[in-house]
Amino acid sequence: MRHGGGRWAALAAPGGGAAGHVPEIRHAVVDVLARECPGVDLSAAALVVTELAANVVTHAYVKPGPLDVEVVCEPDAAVVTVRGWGRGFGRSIRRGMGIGLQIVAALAESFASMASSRRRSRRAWLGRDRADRGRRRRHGDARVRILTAGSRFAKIVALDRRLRQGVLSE
Amino acid sequence: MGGEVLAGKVERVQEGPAWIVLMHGDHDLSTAPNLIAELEQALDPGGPVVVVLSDDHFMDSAIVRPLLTAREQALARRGGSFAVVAPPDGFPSRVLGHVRALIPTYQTWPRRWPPSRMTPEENDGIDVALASSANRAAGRLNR
Repeated sequence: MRHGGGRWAALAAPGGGAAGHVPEIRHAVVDVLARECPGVDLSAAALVVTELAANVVTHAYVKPGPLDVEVVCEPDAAVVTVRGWGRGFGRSIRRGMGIGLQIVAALAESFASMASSRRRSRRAWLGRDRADRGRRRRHGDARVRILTAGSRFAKIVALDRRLRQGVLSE
Repeated sequence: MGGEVLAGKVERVQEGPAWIVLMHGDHDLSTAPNLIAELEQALDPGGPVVVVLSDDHFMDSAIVRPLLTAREQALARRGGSFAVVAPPDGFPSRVLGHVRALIPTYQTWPRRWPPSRMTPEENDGIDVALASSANRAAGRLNR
C-alpha cells in the first residue's frame, strides 16, 4: 500500500555544479519525511539519501544527466529510491561496496540495487518507530520536485502544497 | 537535518608546528574539494595535523575519504601525526563510527583532550603539546 511521498529530479554531473544540489536534495527529502512519515530516524535518512545521491553524481554520468529521487512513506518504512540514467553506478559495483554504500547498508533495514538497460536505481528502506508506524498526516500525497528545466543547473521548486491544492499537475 | 541548508566551511589555524583544521556546518560532496585543499595545505609542512569536527552538523562518506587519505599521508611520514576530534554525541561521530577501525577518532576535545583512556598506540603520535596547541586554537576561535 503506497502512502504517498515525494519525488525529485535534478541534473547530476561529476565534479560539476551538480554536487551543489546534494545538500538541497538532502534537506528536501528530510523535510518531507519529517512532515509525512513520523518515526523515521531523520539523521539516518539524511545520510542515506546523501550517499545515494552523491553516488549518482560521482559515478553515473560523464556529462550532466538526470537524477531522480522518490520517497514513499509506507506503514513500516520510508522507501527512498535514487535513479540515474547514465553509465551505472561505476566502480563500486565491480569492486564491492565503498564506504558510502556500507554506511547505507548499515543504516537501512534493507538496501537494493536495480538495473535495466537504461535506468539504474538504488533503494533503501528506512524503518519507522513502532509507535509511529502507519501514522501520516492526512492531507493527500506530498510531492516536491527539483525540475531539470533543460539547463545545466537544476531549478528547485517546491510544488507540494500547490499540487495538493490541485493548482498544478505533475 | 532539514530546514535551511548550512554550507560547510573549513578554517585552518597554525599552532606552533601543528595545523588545526576546523570544520563548521554541513559537509558533503559539495564541500569536499575545499576540505581536500585545506588538508593538503595543512599536510604540506610535514607537522602534526588535527581535524576538529566540533559542530553537530551533517557529514557523509565524501568527507571520510579525504580524512582517510590525509591520515595515511601524515602517518607515512617519519614522525608524522594526525588526529580527528569529534564530540561523542555529534553527527560526525556517528558517521565516523562506521569506519572507526580505519580512522580513530578522539571524542573528548575540546572539553578534555587528549583523552586519558587512549593508549599511546591509539594516539597516532599526537602528544600533550599538540593537544595544548589544538585547545589554544579552539579557544581563540570560540571567542
